[in-house]
Amino acid sequence: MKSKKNKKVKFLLSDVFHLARLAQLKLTDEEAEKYRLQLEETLNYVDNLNELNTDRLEEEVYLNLKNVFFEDGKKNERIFNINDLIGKKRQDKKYFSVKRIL
Amino acid sequence: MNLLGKSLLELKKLVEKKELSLEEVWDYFLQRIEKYNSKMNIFLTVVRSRKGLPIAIKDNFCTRGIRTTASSKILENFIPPYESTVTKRLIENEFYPIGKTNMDAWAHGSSTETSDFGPTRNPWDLSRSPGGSSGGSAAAIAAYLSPAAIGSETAGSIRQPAAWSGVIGLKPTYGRVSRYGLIAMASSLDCPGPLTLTVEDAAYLLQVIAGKDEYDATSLSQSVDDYLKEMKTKKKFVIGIADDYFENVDEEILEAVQKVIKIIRNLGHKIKKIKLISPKYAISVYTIIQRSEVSSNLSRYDGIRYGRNRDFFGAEAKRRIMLGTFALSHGYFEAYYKKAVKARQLIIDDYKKVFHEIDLIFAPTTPVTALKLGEFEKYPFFGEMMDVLNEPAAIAGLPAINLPIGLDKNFMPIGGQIIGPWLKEADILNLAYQIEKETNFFNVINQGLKKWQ
Repeated sequence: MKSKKNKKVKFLLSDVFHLARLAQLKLTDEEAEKYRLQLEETLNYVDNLNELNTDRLEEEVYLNLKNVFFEDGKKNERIFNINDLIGKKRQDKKYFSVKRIL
Repeated sequence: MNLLGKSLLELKKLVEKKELSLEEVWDYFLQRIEKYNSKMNIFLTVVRSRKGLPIAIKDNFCTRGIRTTASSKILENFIPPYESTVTKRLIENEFYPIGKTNMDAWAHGSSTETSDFGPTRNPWDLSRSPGGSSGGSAAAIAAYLSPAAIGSETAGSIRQPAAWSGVIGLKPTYGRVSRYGLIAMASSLDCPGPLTLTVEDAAYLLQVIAGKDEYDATSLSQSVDDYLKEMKTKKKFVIGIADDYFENVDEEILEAVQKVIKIIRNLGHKIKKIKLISPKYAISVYTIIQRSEVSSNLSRYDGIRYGRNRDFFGAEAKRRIMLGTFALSHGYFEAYYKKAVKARQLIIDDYKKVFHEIDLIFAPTTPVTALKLGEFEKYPFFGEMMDVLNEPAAIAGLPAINLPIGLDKNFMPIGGQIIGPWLKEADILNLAYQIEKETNFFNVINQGLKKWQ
């Protein structure tokens, strides 16, 4: 895959199969060729982002997220009673309870 | 009593005054579904709750004990063991699902044609698409198989089907409504919202479903406005018009939008020209960010957690997963994903700047009216361009509403949209309500209902 500014992005069939393997998808040769062309078309379109100057920006400002998970040793306020969720009567909060198998 | 076209709040009042029983309401809508659903393929699952007032729910909201497929074969037999926050809040307010509506599979699309259970047909013309991905929800209202519906929007999926089906569709600020139990498409964008026949219903339903939720870390803690009250106070706004949002839009749509701008001016609001970054960049930002998040979110469907393996993914889901995997892969992450996230920030800053000068933006919702089923393939970039006017506000997390503003020569609805600053849903609804009072939306909604007596 080549993607330099203002140059057409080119995809090889082997690139498509590589991506499919990463994504755990099985493709036929016919599908792979179709996706090859579509991926090229899309990547050539989104190349217009290089017309925008984003040098001064930091990423992820918009989301402004904070970690809502509990620190080790503190109480987990967000935990579900899992067995409530699946409609089981057991009171154990932390584990699914299933019938014994041995 | 003829119930055709009665809004959710009108039905609620009639029931409260005991002029109408819930039994009669449920009989009425279930009979209509029996009669018309097969013509349009709107509901994938019909639910005979027979409790409270009925509401149609898009099939990507988990409903406890009720099959939820996101219109995908992978989840064909999935029965959620828990309730999404949106449906939970509706039930707490005595609104029960009457059915789960068809959509593009995983909400990937703008036509409902990617549904693994066949496309929904547009109630205005059965050979056309109702739009998507909340196409089933929009059609359910337009054909009055339900008095109101819930949809979800990632970038256009409420506003665009509302425009093509001639109903009202409100996409709230990102985080205003909880995503808990909404089958994830792109988590930094997904946003539940109502589709309705009146602005009042939209305001009311937003009030019901909005607010902080401890199960969605991105839900906002700001208090929820009293939308019904706020929208009826007489307010005057400065309305921004951006030329870039009028490019490559059909002549008939432009005429309808200009007519509404004139009406807005006559109502005493000020119109002001503004300059915004071209929506063509928003398409690129959206394409990269959405595909990336899709490839991550859909990785959970591995055959172990939900039974069916990845061979069950349709062509559209595979295409999106592949592009997302590429944008996040080693060596391309900086050039694509990070670049898109930064460009997203530029678009947000751009909106922040203009909202110092103006209160709201008015624009067309779609560049064309409803396409024929199958026609999407003729368009380059697989229909992504249908959402070109919805994507900028969506990637900035802004609220917006679609309003029916006329009919084209094929007798298909035209949509106009009001976009507002973050958390200013009350102002958007206020202007929408003023336009509704003044024009009754050019009788578009009533004309649509006439086909489905």
